[in-house]
Amino acid sequence: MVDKKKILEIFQKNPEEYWKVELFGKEGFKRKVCPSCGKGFWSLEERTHCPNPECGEEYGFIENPIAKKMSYIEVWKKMEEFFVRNGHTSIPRYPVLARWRDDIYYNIASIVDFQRFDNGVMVFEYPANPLIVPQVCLRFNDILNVGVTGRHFTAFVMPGQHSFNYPKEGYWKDETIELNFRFLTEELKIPKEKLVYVEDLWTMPDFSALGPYLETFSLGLELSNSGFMYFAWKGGLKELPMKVVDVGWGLERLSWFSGATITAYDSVFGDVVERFIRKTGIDFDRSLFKIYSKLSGSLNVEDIVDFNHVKKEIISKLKIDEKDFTEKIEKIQAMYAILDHTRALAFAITDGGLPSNSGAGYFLRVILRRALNLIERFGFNITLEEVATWHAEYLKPIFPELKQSEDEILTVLSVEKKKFEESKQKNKKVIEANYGKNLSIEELVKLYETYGISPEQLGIEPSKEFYDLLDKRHKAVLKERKEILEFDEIKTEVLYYEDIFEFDAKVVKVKDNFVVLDRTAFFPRQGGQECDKGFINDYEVEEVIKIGSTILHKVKECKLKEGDVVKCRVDRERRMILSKHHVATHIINYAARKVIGNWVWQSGSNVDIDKARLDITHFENLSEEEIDNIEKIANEIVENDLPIEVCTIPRVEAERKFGFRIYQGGAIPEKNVRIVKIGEEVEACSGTHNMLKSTRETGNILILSTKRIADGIVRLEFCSGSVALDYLKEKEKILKEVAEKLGVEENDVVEACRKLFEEWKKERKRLRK
Amino acid sequence: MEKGEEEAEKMREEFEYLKKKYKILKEAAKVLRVEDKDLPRVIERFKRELEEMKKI
Repeated sequence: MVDKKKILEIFQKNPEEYWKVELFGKEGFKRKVCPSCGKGFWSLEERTHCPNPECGEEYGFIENPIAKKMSYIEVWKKMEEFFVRNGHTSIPRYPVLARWRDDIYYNIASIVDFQRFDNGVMVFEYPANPLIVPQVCLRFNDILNVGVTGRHFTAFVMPGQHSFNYPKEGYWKDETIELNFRFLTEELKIPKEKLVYVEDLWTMPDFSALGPYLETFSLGLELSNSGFMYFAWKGGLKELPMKVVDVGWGLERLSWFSGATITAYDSVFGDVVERFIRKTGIDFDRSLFKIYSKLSGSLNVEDIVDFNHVKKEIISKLKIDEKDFTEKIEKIQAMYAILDHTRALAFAITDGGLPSNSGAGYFLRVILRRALNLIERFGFNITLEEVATWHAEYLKPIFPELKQSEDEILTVLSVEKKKFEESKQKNKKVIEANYGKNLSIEELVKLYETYGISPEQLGIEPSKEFYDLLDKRHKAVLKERKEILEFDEIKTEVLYYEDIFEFDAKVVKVKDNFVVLDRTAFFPRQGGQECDKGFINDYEVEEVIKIGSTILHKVKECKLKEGDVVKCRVDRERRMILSKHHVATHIINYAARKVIGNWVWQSGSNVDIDKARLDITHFENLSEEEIDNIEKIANEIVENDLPIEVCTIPRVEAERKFGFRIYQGGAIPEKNVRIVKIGEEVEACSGTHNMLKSTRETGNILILSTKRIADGIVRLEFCSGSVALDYLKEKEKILKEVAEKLGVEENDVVEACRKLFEEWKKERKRLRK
Repeated sequence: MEKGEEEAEKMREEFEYLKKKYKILKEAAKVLRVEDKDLPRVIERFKRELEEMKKI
């Protein structure tokens, strides 16, 4: 069984081939091997050990600036300008919610922007080459370290410098490190003697892609990772068809290094720190915190077994008592954590994320409630909404979208705060019963998942194990394909996007009651749309499914044989209703987003003939006014008779043209996507919308019901066209019957009901007396 | 106006007309706190109970 260490050893046998670049020779960098970790490193200065903190190096830049002093914003601007000047295209960041992937919830590295799957194989799709992108990433595996270590974040910007497909396009190792060196020495003005390049190996967990990488360090701080992906491990090293340069810079780190502040937060959050201090009136003893920071620099909550012991040790070294530690150190840590968590939330909400008790929203709620708990614990007279506004303002030169989404950010934060307060009230008894108890991690997690009660509410400091267990339980799992063919995949020729409802076909496989034809116009159940029905010869088609590229027709008591030529007939009327309902689903999705907010995303859908169902992400049930408005906007779109345009284009082009909202139904595991455009609503979808030319053909849309089906999910049921008319006619019949029974005109039914009810109540009261 | 458009217009008018009726039905159901499909049965029951109570 191969492991990372083994592959690294193979590379280390030939460091010149894997890590040496032209620059090292040109500038006179010498290679040494660190006696502590065994890794090779390249430096100009004489040194024995590599600059990794684990090998003894301390942060030498804190209050000892050696780089040009620049703000967080200026560092990115400088970087963007440098790389654009050197042939790169600067592209806007991708969303923090990785909707184009179904194996991760959040964007965790800039390279994720360009990783796609094509029938199970990872491929790279890029809008420019080479490029630079200020990618905001979210990681929730270090929550407890945030605020404490001075360098951990849940949200951070990883400027990605990427080049693909060398030698056909882009560049490779020599130019990558040349650019790296030039940016750091020419733009950030770091003396070249202070740069050290450490050899390491990057690999995917399953070794499907790997390669050497060089970490750039200066005064103990890692500033970037330059990865070169060109191998896979298949019993040995095998070269991949595409070479990829994956340089992940750390904007937080570059800014910290440049600012040389006590913590990274002071450089990264800019004036937001001062605004927080001013508003809350925190007594910030900077000299004491500086001493603490030096002690905490090497702190990693992950490695601490006994947190209380370490805390006591730090208190004794600081020569203060526990009360002072809480007031002067923990309070500041809390401030930094609140600042970080709010920034992460602002990005997530801007990109359509919503805190909830499951899935991707789970982690957002964890940090949101952690921030609220910290505000309460330290009595800060501040709201998350205020902090979010400050971040949006500060980050406007790089991420103006935060400011544009301010209303939505504030709405979601305030709703969540209300929910938290309500949950505290509702769970008061549970909290009281468990307060101060010695609960196990499992019990704490259960309380959190069942009631939303966090350890802090029980007077318990949450431990790393607590967050680890939560993380484990809510991690995105790669969707498993449930349906498995019991025979080799047979590619069925697809006719259902054409105007074909009667056709001849050849039976190519029969398995139980499932028939595979060489070609079919039967639409299989996919993209939320129910399947077509009809006949194959005289056999009634009950169900049509698609597994891979094979389409299977389920018929009753099948006696068909392979090789039979059959006559097939698709139920056109059923298809038409399904198509209308599918178009209505897209329209309702758009209308809901317009009425409610940008956080509305499709969470699920089902398109059938009696009605369609759309589950959307939203934090509360819809009011009558909202339902009326959604229906009104939807019917305006119908009346405006907008064209329904369908095309199949490369995924990368679709993303560039229409953005990531196209992934309403989830990630598309194919290189080309089928795009359905209805007015401003553009979605990647496999439905049969092409049956309709324009929205008026859908017929009027009627919302039948709405219901909050889970935390953060609201279900809308609706129908359109003749189905809606039939539904309303049924209701009219009931109204007629009611009017008759009441002996009034239809328009007077409400008043008559009221009267009847009042009279009934009055009589009942009389009898009770 | 073309035939198709005429039909669409007719359908829209019918839809609006029926929706108004539906609104009345929903409003009435709300008054008696029942689902609209149960209204005839519930009204029947209320009327019957009312008559019986009046007899006492």
